[in-house]
Amino acid sequence: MSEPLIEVKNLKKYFPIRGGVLQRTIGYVKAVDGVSFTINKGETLSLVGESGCGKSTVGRTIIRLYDKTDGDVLFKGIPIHSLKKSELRKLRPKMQMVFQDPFSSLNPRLRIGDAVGEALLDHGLVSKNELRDRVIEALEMCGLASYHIDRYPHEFSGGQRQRIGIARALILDPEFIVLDEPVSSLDVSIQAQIINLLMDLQQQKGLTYLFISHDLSVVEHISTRVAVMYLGNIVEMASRDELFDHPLHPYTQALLSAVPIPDPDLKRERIILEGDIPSPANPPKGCKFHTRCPFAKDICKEQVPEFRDVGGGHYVACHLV
Amino acid sequence: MARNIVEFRNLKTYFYTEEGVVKAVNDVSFSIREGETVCVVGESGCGKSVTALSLMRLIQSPPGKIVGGEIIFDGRDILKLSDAEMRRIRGNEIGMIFQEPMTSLNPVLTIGDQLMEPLMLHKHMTKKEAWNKAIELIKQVGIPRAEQIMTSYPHELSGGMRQRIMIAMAISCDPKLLIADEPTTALDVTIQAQILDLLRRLKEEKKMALMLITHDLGIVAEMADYVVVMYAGKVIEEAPVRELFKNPKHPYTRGLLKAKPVIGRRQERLYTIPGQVPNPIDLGDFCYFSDRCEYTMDVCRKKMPPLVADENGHKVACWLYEGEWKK
Amino acid sequence: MERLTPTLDYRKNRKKGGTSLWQDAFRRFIKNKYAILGLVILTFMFLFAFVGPYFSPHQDVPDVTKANQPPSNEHWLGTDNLGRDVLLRLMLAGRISLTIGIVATLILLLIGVTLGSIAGYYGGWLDVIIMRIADIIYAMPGLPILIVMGAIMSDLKIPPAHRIYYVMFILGIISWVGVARLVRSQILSLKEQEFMLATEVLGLRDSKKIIKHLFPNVLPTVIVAGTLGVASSIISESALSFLGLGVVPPTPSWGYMLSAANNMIDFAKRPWLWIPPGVAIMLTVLAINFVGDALRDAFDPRQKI
Repeated sequence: MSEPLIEVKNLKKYFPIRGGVLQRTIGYVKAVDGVSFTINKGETLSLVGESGCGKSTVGRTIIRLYDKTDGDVLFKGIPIHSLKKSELRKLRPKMQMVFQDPFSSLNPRLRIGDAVGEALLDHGLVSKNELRDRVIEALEMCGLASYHIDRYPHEFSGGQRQRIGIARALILDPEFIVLDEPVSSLDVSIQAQIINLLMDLQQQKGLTYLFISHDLSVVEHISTRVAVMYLGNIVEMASRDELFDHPLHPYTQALLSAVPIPDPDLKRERIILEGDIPSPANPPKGCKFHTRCPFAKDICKEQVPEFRDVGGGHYVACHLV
Repeated sequence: MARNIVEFRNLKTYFYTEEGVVKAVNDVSFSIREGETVCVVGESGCGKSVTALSLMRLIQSPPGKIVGGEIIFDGRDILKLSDAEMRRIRGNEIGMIFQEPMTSLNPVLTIGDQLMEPLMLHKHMTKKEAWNKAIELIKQVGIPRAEQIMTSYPHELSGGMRQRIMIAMAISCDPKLLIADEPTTALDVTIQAQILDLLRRLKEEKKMALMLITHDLGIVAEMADYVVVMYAGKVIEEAPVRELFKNPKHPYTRGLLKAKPVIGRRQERLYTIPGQVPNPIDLGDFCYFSDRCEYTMDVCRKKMPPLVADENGHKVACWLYEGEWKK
Repeated sequence: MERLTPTLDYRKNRKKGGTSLWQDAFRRFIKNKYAILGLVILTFMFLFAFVGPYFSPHQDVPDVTKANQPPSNEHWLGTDNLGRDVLLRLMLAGRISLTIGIVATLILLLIGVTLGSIAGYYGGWLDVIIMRIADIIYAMPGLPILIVMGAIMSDLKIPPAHRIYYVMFILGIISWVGVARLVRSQILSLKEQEFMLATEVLGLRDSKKIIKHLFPNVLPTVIVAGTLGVASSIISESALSFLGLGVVPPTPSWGYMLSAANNMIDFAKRPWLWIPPGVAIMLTVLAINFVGDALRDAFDPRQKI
């Protein structure tokens, strides 16, 4: 039984909405509104959800790209948000991130050899002599060649840039990586290459992943456990097999039924949700999903359902379960 | 047998850049029948969007130019029409919706203004008639409170609603053909399901042909009657939808089907197509997929395979099948 | 792990080591005909102003016996009302106008880039204060202020030789607002770019982030703003001097020479007095605009090479 590497307890992140002449705070976007989970060493936890659910914000708050509004984030027992800036800086190499957009995640004016190696140098983890070798090692591990070291980002394709981003994160020898929609901008045939790469690296180096995505088919392939988010809360969380075989929350069911399957003969019971996703600045009362839920009852409109374990580590937040 | 509403015949659309010539659409031929849904599938750079833009004659020139071939729409050669005649067709007989709902609508005009414009222009309606028809259209695409929407601005609507408005605009003049270029790629999956459902319904009601451009094979399976697979500017396979999924012939099509993880089918490792799409500049006469294909033969590197057909109407451009099938 | 095919080699004649965005920009710039034209004109103007006087047989001293002569072999552009050679004066005036233009711009860039960077990078109340000050300065009508300053300088009897320094300084401190806003908005948008977020995740030091990542991406904007700033400084100085409030005689200035057009007789009968400075200003500013526009196009990565 592996120990938890990351513990998130009731995490909240609100973004103030400013208005008026004096830019006073007139409201909050409750991007993350009380999220709790743990990730064990070597696991991949996926956060799935649609726009406005807060999954990217969770990822960014966990590694303290954003400061939290409330709650706790522990990395190997260390409360990340209580660290001083200098202590945080020292811890950074252990928690890395791969971004979504291969086009804006690399500085266009920096050669990729520099982009990949600069953090290593800046932290003093390697001498100038060893740097070049370490960079080439990281690039080759990600499927690039040593002569790419002098090229600029705009000379590479999207898939290659994502590989550079992964090399940049990997070279610091991290224990935990947040992958924020790492393959969403890529073509299908390239997605498969990158996913295989990520899984191979995880095996070789014992990495722990937080995988953020809206693509359920990729999530099913890569995850150990899955958490489904809606408007800032986790509505269901279970092991991969449990969630995909026995989805309990109506939103999870609707999500799964909405994914188009490449089989023209398959007849499906599609649950089509009414209406649009409400704004996180003004979420519905009670269960936030009740405005679109095909099974909503009166209690759903008034009371927020408890996020509880219904057996075997399968958590749901729904009055009907 | 319904007649063809659109026929692409040896269409060639090239882009002349400082680096060289990009043959974005390189001798493409296929047809769309009345009332049929044809999905054009492919990954980035395959030329599917440029094909649709060529049909609408919206290719930016320079650097682009339709250098050869014909596009027959409803019996007329689109490429030979004058600008004025083309304008009468766009928005009227052919509707088009784009990928990005955020930027496809004019942010400074109300929804009402944008909906009424094509009605007054093409159908010569009065303002009052156009207003009423616009309200009807908004209801048809499933948006409640139509009067309120008429006086709203695009930024006040969500992505899904904007896409519905785009669809409303595109079908407002009862076009014979609706082109949808990756209409749901930028939308959430639950909204995507709504939009696809809407497109299916409208197509039935209005008896329109639908040219749906996408990279998602799941959408193809759901929506298509007929599928055209493109790669690096050429059609490499086409077939009725069931035939294509049951018997994919071209190694690229097979690879695509295998590479995408599918819900319910768990694997240890994903199948990958090695390598990447070739540099589109100054491509020569050889099979463009040859450097990534596991079945490559000598001839593949020397000559471009022609598109050949079998009895089921299944066409493929691959030397593996040359000789088995007829041209 | 499968092998990747090497990077797409779009460029035929590729040097080893990749091409940076600066090299791309340079190539785009060179291809622009207006840019070359502008550079040629500017080079000519600089040589004309700074080197030209050494080739002139005349001195910049009054000689009333030779006043108001039309162009001749001896005086290619004639003489002014004090008998000075107009061509020589034009060259000397060029020195003044170009110098003022450049120095004023450097001052405004220094202030504008610094304040804009602080406002953009740190945000918060620093941003608010700086931007409100900028708004106030921006709202003040430029020309009237310059006129008032000019009048004050005359009142304080500041010697003509010193006036040009005051003019440069004043132009600099009231024109920094545009650049500050530009730099601030560039930094604001850059801060949200994922590669800047990545520098935070990688744990880079603040200094590294600013110098290695922010600056090179802000520099193109600053270069373009600076180039165009020179043009507007030259025009402001000319306007001031035309009104007799900027540089005053005996310091030569294109603007002052242009004021001959104010005089009915000079305007009608002695065009050699006011046409040359007008043309000089126009050519210089036009050339600067060509170069500035070409630089802006060259740095824009959306332009294809």
